[in-house]
Amino acid sequence: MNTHVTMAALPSAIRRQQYARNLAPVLFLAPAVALLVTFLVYPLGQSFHLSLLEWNGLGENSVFVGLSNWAVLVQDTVFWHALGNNLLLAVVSVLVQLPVAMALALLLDKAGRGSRTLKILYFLPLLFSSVALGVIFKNVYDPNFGPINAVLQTLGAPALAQDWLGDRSYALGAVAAVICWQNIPFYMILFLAGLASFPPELREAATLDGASNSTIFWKIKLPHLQGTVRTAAMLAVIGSLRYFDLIYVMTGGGPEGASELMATYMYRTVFSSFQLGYGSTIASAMFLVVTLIAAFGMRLTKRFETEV
Amino acid sequence: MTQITLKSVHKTYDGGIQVIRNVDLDIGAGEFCVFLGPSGCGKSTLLRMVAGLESISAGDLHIGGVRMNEVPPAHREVAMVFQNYALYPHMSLYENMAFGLRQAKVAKPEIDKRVQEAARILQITHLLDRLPKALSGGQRQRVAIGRAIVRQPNVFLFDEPLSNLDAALRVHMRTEIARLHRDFKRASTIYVTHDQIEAMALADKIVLLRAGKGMLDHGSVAQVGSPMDLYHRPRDLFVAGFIGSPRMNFLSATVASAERGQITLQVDGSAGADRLLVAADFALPAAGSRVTLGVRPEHLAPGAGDGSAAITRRVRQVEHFGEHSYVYLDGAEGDEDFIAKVTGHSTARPGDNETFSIPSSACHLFDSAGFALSRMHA
Amino acid sequence: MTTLTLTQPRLPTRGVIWTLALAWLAVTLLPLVFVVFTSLKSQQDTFDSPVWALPSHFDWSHYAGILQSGFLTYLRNSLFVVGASVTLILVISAMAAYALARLKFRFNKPLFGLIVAAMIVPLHITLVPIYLMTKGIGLYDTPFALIGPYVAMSLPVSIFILAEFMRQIPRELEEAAQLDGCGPFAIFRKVFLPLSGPGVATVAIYNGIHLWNEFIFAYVLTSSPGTRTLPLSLWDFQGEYSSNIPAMLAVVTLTSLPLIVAYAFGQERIVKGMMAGSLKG
Repeated sequence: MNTHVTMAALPSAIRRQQYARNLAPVLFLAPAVALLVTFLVYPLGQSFHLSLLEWNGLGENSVFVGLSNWAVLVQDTVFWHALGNNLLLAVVSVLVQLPVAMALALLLDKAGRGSRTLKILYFLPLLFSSVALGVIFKNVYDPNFGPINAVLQTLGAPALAQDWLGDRSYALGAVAAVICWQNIPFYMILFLAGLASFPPELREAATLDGASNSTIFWKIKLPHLQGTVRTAAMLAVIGSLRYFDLIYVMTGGGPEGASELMATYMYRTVFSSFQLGYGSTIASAMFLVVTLIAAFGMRLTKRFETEV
Repeated sequence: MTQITLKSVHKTYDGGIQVIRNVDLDIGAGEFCVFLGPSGCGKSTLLRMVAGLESISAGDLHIGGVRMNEVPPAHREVAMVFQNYALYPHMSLYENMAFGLRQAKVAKPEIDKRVQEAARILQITHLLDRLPKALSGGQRQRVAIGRAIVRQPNVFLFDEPLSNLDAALRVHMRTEIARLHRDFKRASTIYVTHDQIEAMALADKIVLLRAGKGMLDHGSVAQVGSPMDLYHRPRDLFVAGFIGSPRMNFLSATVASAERGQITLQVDGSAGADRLLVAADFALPAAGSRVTLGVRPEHLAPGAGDGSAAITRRVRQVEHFGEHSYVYLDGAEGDEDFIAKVTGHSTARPGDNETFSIPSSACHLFDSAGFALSRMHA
Repeated sequence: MTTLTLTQPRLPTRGVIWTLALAWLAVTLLPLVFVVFTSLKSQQDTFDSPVWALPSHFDWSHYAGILQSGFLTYLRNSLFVVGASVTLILVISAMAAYALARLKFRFNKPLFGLIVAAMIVPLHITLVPIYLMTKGIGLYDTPFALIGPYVAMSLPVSIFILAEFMRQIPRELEEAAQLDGCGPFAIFRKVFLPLSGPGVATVAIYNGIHLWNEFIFAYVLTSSPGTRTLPLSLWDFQGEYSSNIPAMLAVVTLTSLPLIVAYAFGQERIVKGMMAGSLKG
């Protein structure tokens, strides 16, 4: 018995299927593409367009100035200092966060009982919004009422107590410390997952071959993790180039630009100085910097890829 | 009643790789046809082209007389049993079997009737409420078959359905599938497998497909015929070597002399010693030409016989299976081992020399291009 | 026959391991403990007693004051904005992920590459243009102003994650559905969506948490407390409680509480969700 269309209706069935085949991708992708174009592609273009103007954002009095904003940018010491701070943070992210996270992951891997509780507690910093952390650590670093200086006092080293966020030489470092505090658990979990996927047979084979524990770690486990480490490094660098919330709340980019980042500089230029044109130039430059570094990073990691 | 016709069918992937070349095939109504061949020969691809899951690059496919090249799979009146069962994990067995019927807007009572009937035939009625993950491999296989049955198709398509089952279950399910085919007489079946024993057991007709250079030179189809056709009258070396386990023994030789009913061969390797007389009526090869002599392990007779067609070789290894034994003899340099199947327990020992004779009635001769020389009488 | 000597493990002993572990635990928890304790002190207490001293009495007045001055409005706004955004994200990214993972069409690969590349873009670059756009359309200072940008900026990651999930669904299931008479829409609804449960949950949690804590766009696109979301409550209350440390820390505690409560109920889920996109399966 025929459960489907009769032979005579076949041509329309064929046509209907072809319709569906051709229409489906469009319908499924339309909403996503529309949103991405509206809120990502168009603003990107707008930003570059605005960078060619001098405009205070109110009214229609924008002036086309061509590339002069960009010329100014190239000479702008504040911008380059901010960029330097971003890169400094990137380096700190990789050199501090990753090893500590790795050490913690190894600790948890070996700790056995109780490691689950530890893992749950270690993860807490990631649940707080950057704003909340900004407020918290502004108070922690408070020179008069904050616990850090209080501890230093009680430990009998009052000379070490500083105005952590108000002193030009310490501001960036203090901010970096908070960033590390927040993000180390993230990389710890990443590495834990990598360690968990380590096949026990490899370890057994190595032990039978007479390898000591440290040999096993350096020569076998670590190479197995290289993919995860690479991912972590990429994420750390790219992430650090985008910091805003935390610094804005804690220092606002100060004192006197000591902790200025590209994003905070852009924000101030637009919303405090009302220079939308130049602010967009900074934003566009930020985009270029990130893209370049990301592309460079991809190239670099491809070069060092070994199949494990 | 259906008929499946493939005419000059080709399949090329984007990138230019051709997998199917020049397939001409007729499958009669109610026939059990097996697509057999080594991996890469395109047997699954050919099946999926019949199903409509792969496009046909060139050529025509007709089912029941209607050209089906562009027709969507659901409208071809075919049903398929997949290698990995392809059961919807989030639906109960009942839902799995009813799904296609619901899509076709069949009335509910009819759906229920068909599903219950199929479940009864496959003895899975008590499992209808369960999810696939709660079932064993054999049970899942049955549900996959049930899903095909309820569609009451004109063609059943099986894509290596038994390869994921263990050996004992495979034998059992094989008989089940054969029984089903007998019960659903009006439907044709196309069954894909790489296991020639399955093919021999189930098929009315075997389509043996080849891959690689052979496919490019001579087309995908090596031979089409009943299992016994392929066993007794292989068309070339490939078919002869593929069918039968252990595979046929091959000896390279030169024709010393050839007359009607008497062909004398000089076997390679052994200096002067192995001269074999093939006393059978073949199409005559030229004297001095190169041929390959083929004889199946089960046809070799122990002992020298009348001496006209005997070979003596050193025994490499013997395997005992109780009911029979395999004796592995050294082949000439470049040739593979010569295998003889002996009933009962063989007394041969590794290192000994053993003699076997080759009955002329069991000989196959192949010319230098690999094609079989035909016998004048059956 | 030589005997096999077991090499002595040269790793730190359990004692050392646990000491280091607890040290980091202290580093992690002490700031938080500080926050909670201080928030329960009266302002006088903070002047009088040392920083680490426990509160002389538990002063709940800060919490009461905050809850009464509009805190709940912030909470309500966050729930609405994040709820609506996540729902839209799930629907739109599932559809896009299905198309990119399974449908064959010409620009499939390049489009997917572009979407993945979009994950790297620092979103601040779109801040000013979106601000101008929002003002131009007249949506400025409404909750709806946030939904569009929130959904759009979450799409690349969500599509990436869901596409990975959907790729794992065996092709045979699709083919069986085709044979059963399903076109691409039916296959999406009846096969892919039901089987993408875990992926959808992951995307929901990942985006839920990130959007819940999102600050800068909410800061720029809204201005009145009636429309602002939770992270902004901290900013707004700063003006009111500028030197009232316990009060500020009470705000911090209150704003962080919802997420911590959620975490208490489903740590594994939340951890996995937040790590999505970085962990390759």
